[in-house]
Amino acid sequence: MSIANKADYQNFTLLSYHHIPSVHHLEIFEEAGGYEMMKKCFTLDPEKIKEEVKNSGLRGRGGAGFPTGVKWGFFSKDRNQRKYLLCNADESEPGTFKDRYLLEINPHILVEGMIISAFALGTQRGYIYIRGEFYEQAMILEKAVKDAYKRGYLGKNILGSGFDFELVVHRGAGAYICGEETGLISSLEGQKGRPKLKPPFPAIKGYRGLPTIVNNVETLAAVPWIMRCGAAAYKKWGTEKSPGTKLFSISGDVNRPGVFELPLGIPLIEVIEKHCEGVREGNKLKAVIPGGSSAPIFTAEIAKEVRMDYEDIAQKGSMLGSGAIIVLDETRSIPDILKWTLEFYHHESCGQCTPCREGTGWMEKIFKRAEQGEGKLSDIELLDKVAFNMRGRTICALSDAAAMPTQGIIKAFRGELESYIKIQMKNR
Amino acid sequence: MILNKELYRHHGHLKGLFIALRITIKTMIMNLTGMEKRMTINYPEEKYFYSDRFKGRHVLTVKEDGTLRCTSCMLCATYCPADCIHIIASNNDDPSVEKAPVSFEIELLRCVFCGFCEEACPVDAIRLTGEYEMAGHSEQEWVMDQHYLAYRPLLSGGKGIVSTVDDHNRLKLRL
Amino acid sequence: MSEVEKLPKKMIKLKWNDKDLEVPEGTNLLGAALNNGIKVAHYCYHPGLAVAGVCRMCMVEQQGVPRPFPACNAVVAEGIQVRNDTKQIKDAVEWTLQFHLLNHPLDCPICDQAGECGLQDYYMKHGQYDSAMIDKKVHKKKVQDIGCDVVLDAERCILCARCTRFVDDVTKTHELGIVNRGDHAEISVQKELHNDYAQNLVDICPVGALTSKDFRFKQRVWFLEDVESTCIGCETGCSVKISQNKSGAYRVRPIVDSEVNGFWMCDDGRKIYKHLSTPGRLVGPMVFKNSMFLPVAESEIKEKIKSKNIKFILSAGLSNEEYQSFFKEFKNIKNITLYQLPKTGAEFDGILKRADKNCNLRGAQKAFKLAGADSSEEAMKKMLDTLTSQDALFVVMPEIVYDHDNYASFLSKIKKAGLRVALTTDDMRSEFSDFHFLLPVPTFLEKEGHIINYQNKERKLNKGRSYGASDRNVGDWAHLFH
Repeated sequence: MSIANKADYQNFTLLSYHHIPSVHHLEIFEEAGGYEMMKKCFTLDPEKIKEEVKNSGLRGRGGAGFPTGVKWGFFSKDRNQRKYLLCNADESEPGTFKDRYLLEINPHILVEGMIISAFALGTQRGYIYIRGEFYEQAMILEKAVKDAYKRGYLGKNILGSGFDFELVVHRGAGAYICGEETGLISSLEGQKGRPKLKPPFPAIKGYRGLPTIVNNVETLAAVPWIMRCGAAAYKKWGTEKSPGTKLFSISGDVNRPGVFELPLGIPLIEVIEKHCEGVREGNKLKAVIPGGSSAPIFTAEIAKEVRMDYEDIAQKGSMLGSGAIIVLDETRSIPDILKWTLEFYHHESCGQCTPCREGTGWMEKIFKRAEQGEGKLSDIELLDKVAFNMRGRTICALSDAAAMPTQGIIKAFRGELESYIKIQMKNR
Repeated sequence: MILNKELYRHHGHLKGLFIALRITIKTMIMNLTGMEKRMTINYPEEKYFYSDRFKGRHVLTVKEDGTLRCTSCMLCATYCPADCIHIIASNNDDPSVEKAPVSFEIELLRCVFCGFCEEACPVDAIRLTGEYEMAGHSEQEWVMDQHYLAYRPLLSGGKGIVSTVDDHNRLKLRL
Repeated sequence: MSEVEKLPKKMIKLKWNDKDLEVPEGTNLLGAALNNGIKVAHYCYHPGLAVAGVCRMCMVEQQGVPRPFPACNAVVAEGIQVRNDTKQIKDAVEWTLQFHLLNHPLDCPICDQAGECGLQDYYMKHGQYDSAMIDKKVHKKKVQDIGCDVVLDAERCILCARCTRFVDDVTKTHELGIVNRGDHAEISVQKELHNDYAQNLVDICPVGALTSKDFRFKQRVWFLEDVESTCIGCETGCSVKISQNKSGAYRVRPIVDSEVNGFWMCDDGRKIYKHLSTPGRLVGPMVFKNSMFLPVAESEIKEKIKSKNIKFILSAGLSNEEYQSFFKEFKNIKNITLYQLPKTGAEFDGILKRADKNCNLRGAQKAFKLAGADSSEEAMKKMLDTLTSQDALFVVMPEIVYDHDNYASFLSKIKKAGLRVALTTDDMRSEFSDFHFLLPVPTFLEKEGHIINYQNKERKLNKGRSYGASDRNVGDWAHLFH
């Protein structure tokens, strides 16, 4: 994990408490100014909080980048209706470790964010669905929730405001698909973690058939800061359409990998060269996966031009996703990346929709066959076709997540794949 | 009755007779002296062998382990224009076989030897062979059961004709 | 029918491809198309079950909607224009079918579903005839006996989840589930099936993954023809079709009938075909002589009953028309009573099955009342108690018996009659050895007629193939008495 100097953080939002030692203790967090905003928010009109979040232009940090304020706008305004606020901490996208870093050091910022959001939305109950493998983080989070209960920040009639909010930490069991919001809801309901048909969307009919909002950890954790400093201050960073800062988890062949909070719209090359101190051992940059394993790959040429915001990346044919930047230098083999991607999605496909269930397995088989030297050059075409026909045909986006990087790699590194197949055939 | 009265009138009776028998006599001499190949054979001492494409008596092929290949899918019975194939299917305890015939009968008297059954069969279980000698007395003798169809002594001494056609291709994906 | 459904619903106009449809408000989009005779490929959608939307075959495009979506998860709306004949959709369906068939074992020759299989049907229409798949297939467990005469072949399964939804939504017994993920996912049975509607799983399975043990390998479906009739298993009177050919009857399946049975029927009803084509069906009058049944001339029976006192016990399973003709022909016989099958099981199991097993009790009571006869059980008991050796008792046997103890005690009581004649649809079974004569009558599938079900609704019995003597119904035997 990166250890940057304090000054880097103080001006930023999500990691603004991270330089304080032991900030996961409630007292220390409060000393630093935590939970103050929550108290202030109880005096505000909930609609105003929603308005503020909408004005800030905060976008869902889980991967899709849907504006949070708009999502909240679909939600039932009836404060007496039973509703749920779920926090998606099932961070399993390969290459992503931002929520883990956030929760590990400062769980209270999420708790505070959830209380404010719940107050704005009028939900009486919230769940934090945390990834099963995050055992320590779940323990830290559970302690934070317990402390907040003790202090009266959670439970019935919080601080005499008349607002009730129960918060439960729920550990998943290690399925990637449960990071999809409806898959998460299914899992939380005690069923097999399988995404549900949309429409109806969770905001209308979600957990247990009741209106439910599912937000990423990072999204909810950004709420207290936006309330404290105002939407305008938040908009100061980033671009017009992608305002604010974002946590980037950078891994791969860089000298200083780790989680960085950076404003959106920052050039990718600046992230690599300045914040990560360049590609390791002075190697040449070969490719970058800009948004977790499901984002199509960028060649070095494109990587040098792209800016890290939702629009610019999309325009260049990939996606920002969860902000997991995977840097590959010239020593890396692209077919290996493809194999690893295909294996992962084959293993994680829930098996509900046919194109994804069969397609992910088929793509892996095609590639494994090529690896054993029994491939043909036409297999690349076949892979591309299979991937194309998996896209947009399923309930959730896992199928697209498997197809997009495959197509991306074929588009950007076809020559390398072809020579790989030929070499494997020869070495057979 | 003399058909060509003019011939006899012209040559006389005996000469006319030999003229009329010319081809017969010529062929007899040629055959006796071996100058020309005979069209006929001394059946049944000599036997004629038809090519494999001849559509004669049916045979049910067997797998390498000697059991019937037939899965009793009934496609032959479905396509049979003479309605002469009668199959009774049943469960087989071997899960890789699942379905096998307990009775497979062909009524030869109804069969028109069209070969549709052979073409319809998805597993090369039924073939029409070059066997053409068929004779029998009662109607019962004309109904061939699966034992006769597969294991009659003529077929590799009762072991049956082993077929592995397509096995490799078909089973390749299953291994 | 509930009050709500009786109200005329608002009709909605929409356009599917180039066809204008008009359907009631709230109809499922795919359902609307299917009801209007448009053929849309689909596996997981079933009008009697919740929507799953997993097979991805019924994709459509709608004007103004950016992405194709499955029609089964949409509800009709006024004025929408839906297309599924564009190139994009056709490609999608073709590829989705390819995905469905990817790990399919292709054992059609030994699969009972062949001939009525969704995969075969759509393959002919939407198939990619050259499969690009040359890799090894995924293998799963085959030939699993999962109880209730259902056989599961996980390899053939396309995971449409119709079966799991059926046991969750309809029977609420939850025996089936899907285990594992990805292409290793398969239907699995937690505990053996234990519900009275398990055979419906075989019907709703669009492929050959669930097959019936009872029907297994008996016939190929293309040799069978369906006769639509009514189930005589109980007073519900479900609409059914019986599959039969010249060699016998093989299975019973439900017909969709929203007024009576909906989409389903019970497993007991599936067994009503069993006695239709048993090899020993009567072909004429029989006499019990030297402990076996032998054909007999009608004149011999005539001779025997001449001096006797004629009494009749009818079963409550004849058609209305048979009762009518019986009472017309036997006007002068006063001793006529009705044998009712006793109730078995729960009064109503919440889905279809009812305790009253007399399929036409209401019709019988009506006919008895019209003729002035007593149809009550007391009357029958009284008749049984007062039987003498001077009586010739004619008993019309019930076609299907559930409570065998009750039946046996009934048979033991009639022994007091001097001459006993059974009119039966059955074969020569040992339980008829107490009778002197057997006379054949047609089964429910060998006569045209009507029965009245528990809703007082007339249900039609249709005539199919006959496997016994079916030319004379009960009333036609009247000439024995003239």
